[in-house]
Amino acid sequence: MSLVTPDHDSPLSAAPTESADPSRPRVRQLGDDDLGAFSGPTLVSQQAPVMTVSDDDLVRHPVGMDWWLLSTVAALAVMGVVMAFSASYYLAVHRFNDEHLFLVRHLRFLGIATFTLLLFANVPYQVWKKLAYPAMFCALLALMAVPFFGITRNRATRWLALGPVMFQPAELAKVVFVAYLARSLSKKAQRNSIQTFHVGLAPHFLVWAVLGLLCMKQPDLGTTLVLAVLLFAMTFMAGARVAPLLFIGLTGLGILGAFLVHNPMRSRRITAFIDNFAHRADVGYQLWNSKLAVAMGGFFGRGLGASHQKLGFVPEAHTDFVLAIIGEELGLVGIMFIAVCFIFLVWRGLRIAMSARDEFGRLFALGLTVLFGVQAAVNFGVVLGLLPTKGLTLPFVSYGGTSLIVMAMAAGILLNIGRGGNPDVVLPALPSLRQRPSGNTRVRTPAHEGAR
Amino acid sequence: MSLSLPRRRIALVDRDGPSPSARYVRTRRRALVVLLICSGWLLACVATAAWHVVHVDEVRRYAEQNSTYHRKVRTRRGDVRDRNGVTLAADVRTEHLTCDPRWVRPTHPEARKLKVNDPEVRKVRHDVADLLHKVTGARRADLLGRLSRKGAFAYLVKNLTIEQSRKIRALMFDQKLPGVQIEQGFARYFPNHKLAGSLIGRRNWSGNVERSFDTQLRGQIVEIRGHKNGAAERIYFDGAPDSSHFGGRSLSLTIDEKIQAVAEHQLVAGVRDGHAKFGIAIVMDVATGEILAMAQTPQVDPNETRNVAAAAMRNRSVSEQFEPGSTLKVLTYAAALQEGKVTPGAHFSAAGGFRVPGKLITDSHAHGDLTATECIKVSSNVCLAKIAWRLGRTKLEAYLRDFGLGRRTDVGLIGEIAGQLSDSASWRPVKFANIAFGQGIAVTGLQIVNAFAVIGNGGVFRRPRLLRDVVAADGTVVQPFELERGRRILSSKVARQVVDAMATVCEKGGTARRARLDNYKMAGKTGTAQQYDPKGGYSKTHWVASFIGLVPAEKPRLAIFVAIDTPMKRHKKYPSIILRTGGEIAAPVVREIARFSLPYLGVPSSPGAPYLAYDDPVVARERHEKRRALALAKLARKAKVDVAEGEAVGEPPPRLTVVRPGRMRVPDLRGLPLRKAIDQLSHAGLAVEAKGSGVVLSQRPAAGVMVTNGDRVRLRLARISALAAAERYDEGGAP
Repeated sequence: MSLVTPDHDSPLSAAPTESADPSRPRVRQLGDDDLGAFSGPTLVSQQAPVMTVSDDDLVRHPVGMDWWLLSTVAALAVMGVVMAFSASYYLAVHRFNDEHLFLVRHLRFLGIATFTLLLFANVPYQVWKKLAYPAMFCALLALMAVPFFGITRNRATRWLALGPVMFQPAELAKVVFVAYLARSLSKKAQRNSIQTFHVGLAPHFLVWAVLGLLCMKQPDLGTTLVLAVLLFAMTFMAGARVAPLLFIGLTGLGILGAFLVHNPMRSRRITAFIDNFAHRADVGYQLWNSKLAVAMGGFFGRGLGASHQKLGFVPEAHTDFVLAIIGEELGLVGIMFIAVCFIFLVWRGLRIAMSARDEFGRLFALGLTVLFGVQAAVNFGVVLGLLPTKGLTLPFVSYGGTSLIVMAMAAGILLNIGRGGNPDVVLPALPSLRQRPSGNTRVRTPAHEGAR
Repeated sequence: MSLSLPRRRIALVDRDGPSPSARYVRTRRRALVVLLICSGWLLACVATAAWHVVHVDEVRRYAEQNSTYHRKVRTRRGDVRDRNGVTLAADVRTEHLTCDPRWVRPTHPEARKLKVNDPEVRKVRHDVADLLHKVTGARRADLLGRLSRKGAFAYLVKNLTIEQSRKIRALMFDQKLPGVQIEQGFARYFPNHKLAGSLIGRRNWSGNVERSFDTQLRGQIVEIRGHKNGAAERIYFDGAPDSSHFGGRSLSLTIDEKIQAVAEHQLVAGVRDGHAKFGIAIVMDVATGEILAMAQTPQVDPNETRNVAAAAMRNRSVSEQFEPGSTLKVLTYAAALQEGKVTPGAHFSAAGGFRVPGKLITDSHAHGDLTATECIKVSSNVCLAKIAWRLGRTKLEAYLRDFGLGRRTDVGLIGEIAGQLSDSASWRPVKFANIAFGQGIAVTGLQIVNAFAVIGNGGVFRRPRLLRDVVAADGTVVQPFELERGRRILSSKVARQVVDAMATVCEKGGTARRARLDNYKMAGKTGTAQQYDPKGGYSKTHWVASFIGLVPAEKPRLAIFVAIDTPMKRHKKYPSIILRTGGEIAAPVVREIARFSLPYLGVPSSPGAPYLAYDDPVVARERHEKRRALALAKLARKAKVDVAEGEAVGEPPPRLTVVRPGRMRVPDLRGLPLRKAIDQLSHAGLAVEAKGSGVVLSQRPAAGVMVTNGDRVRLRLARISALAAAERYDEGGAP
């Protein structure tokens, strides 16, 4: 149908040139990452609309619209509205004399987030394959702009203002980084260069290092670490060799340790984390009160709105430490509910990833799932004193505009991967030096066939 | 390892990697590993949370210390009301400015560690003191001292005004007052201000209700638990005590607010007119012993806690003793009648005095032959000495003690004194004679009025009562008023005879003609006693003029006693004469109190007494016209000006400016009683239209407006007590 093109990654491309090499024995002649080579409106029309043949020899059904995942996200978001309001109430009254201040803002963000989620759930994820690199570039630019044009709050410069809108490029960078890794790793996995160091690992670590340095400049160690976890998890899942990863990971931990020990402010935080009781009045104040909140909540909590610790004892009660207030007001049951929600979310994410049509989708979905999981896990760990304090939000629950919208974006993309995206999507030609075939490059969709 | 990488790369670059399906399986396996680690971590976190929950007891203490505080507070004090439920004293909600000196420091997190004397902390303290000084006017040094106290609590300013509170809250909101808090509390408030001021009093004064019944009134001490926020500011109470359970008991007094007000008003007027030092007035219901009014001058407003004269801080009616003088003659006479030693018609000769060993008893005015009743009427010392001689000193003492003299009356007021009545065995004849007419014995006002209430009550003694009901905070009456069994001292016949004798005192020829009322028959007795001089003997300059009245004489309802200390009123015609007798000075006050109280209590006029409504406008108008004509004629004679011209004659009447004949400015009548306002206006030839009762609240046209003779001036009047009810009381809400 379509002619051979030099573009390996175009869905419309025929078998890659490599596979055309007769010297390479290949079992299949279907393109590795290529649905375009699948020659069959006729076949599809027989096989019902959503059935696809993927890059391996299995025929997989995209899970379709994952209502369970959407419901879980919605449940977390509703919980977030209630708890961020409850946790921010006192602060809002005491400081701003407007008890609904944070509630109104949160609802506004939630509205935008809902729109974002629905939008991204309807944008074929294949688009991001094209946009991953440019987006990564933009994110890097934005992060680089932060130290110069950023807005400082709480002694950290994290915000950029676009007209009246303020956002944290670091939050956005998480999703973009996942897209970038998915794009890059899927390609390398196909070529198996993933298993090399200089092609499979080094470029990604380089990008991470640049991102991480920019984040540390803010300072935002939390995001740097989340990006690192994403990097390790995704290279690992994409098929990188374990030994170099382990080596780099352990070395990195050592460097991190040395860095922490030498930075007096951070080392104080670490000691406060290790011996929280001794530092409960100064550096460990936040953690200590967070743990008190969870402990005092008991199994069923003090009751909604009845937290004592939110009255100025737990700083950032409505953002990073909202889980502590959930623990105090709704008890262990509340914490378990949130944890179960995230575990369920992770499971649904895995399910979506494994049903993805192509390697890119699979890795992208896995990356986003890990993003949810890691962010939640780190937040849990921080609030409950298993990790030193980091400024990380609890996805969907914490108050915070950028975080909420970015997470909604991630969830939307995940949903779209579950729906299979649109394999026939064609982006308008990006400025590319590569020549594209002229003429009708569009494949009639199976849906069209079915409708006939 | 990195060294080995290039070597292995050759093999890896080989395109012959795992097949897509193998990659799929590998990715799935590895994803499962990653996500299981993630989920496992989340579960570990939940387990940690559970561990915290299970071990809550180890940290509970810290959580409680952090966020709660305990304080003992006293709940609301009970009210004091009059017999009709009018509030005389009540706790109103108020706000106190307090601080936790430990937190008067900068608000940034590092400030926790600063020392108390750190310059930064000190600066904050000074700033706070400056701001509070500006808002409240409290002394800056004083505030600074309180702000730097040791400990966790200090009062800064008590009883903030509403405006101060508003300003301070605004400052607190702006984070300008770290460590400063506003605390809700109660303040004692006396809505009628001076009314019964010394009787209700304050807890640290003497002889008053607030002090004497403090154990009943005061609220219980309860512990309250409250919450602090992260900045240690108190933010709310957890279990605010319920006043209806823990509040103090409320007292209903036997006092009647209106009678009290009249008594005070008249007493003040009497003391002023008599140019006296001070006075007391007591009104008692003879049938029950209830005290309806207990007034004294100078008046005092218990709301004022500063610059109160020491004399005003005690209740003179129970804490000041004096020699009763002639009023006691009645008791001597009553005892003699009861003992059958004398009959009302028995004859005594007052002529020539009565010689007892050591002294010749004489009268101030010489009298001749008198009946026993006339002895009382003219207050003859000689005759009473003779009557006492018939009675004997033991009997006299016994009767006086029966009447309640020489011991405390058991009315319940702390600070009450017993007076002085010595053992009759020690009485030498002179003293015996003296006691018979009221010298050499010291009594309190309450004792006198209580003793005469026996006579008014047909001879039955009842102890004086000030407390009616005691009502618990939840509204249950815990101690209802019960009339106790009386003790008969005189037969009812004797009591009747004594009252009849007292009634003659107010008749023509008696010592208290000025006590006569138009529509009630008054029975009474004057007393004019020299005061005991600390230097020895009796003072020539210090006197007590008193009058005890029983009204109406036919069947006494009230016993009214007025005593005025050291009147210095000069006779109008002969200024060298000082009018100091009870009949001149005290009797008119009793009369005026009775004039109001009896109709107020619904006591019917005495039979045969000419009904005369004193305040009947028609009658009043006539009387004023008559007076005015007389006064004008008198002035005209003096000034030799024709009155009919309407010119200003002699001295212009006060507060009235006559500009042209027939044209004048309206005087400022506000604050004047109706009678005086009418006097002024009718003097000026203006018509009056009055609404309400009491004193003039407002007038139309306003003061200073030009009017023409015959114009009408409209007055609105209000009771003094109503005017006195301050706005704060209204704003403070009903207690």
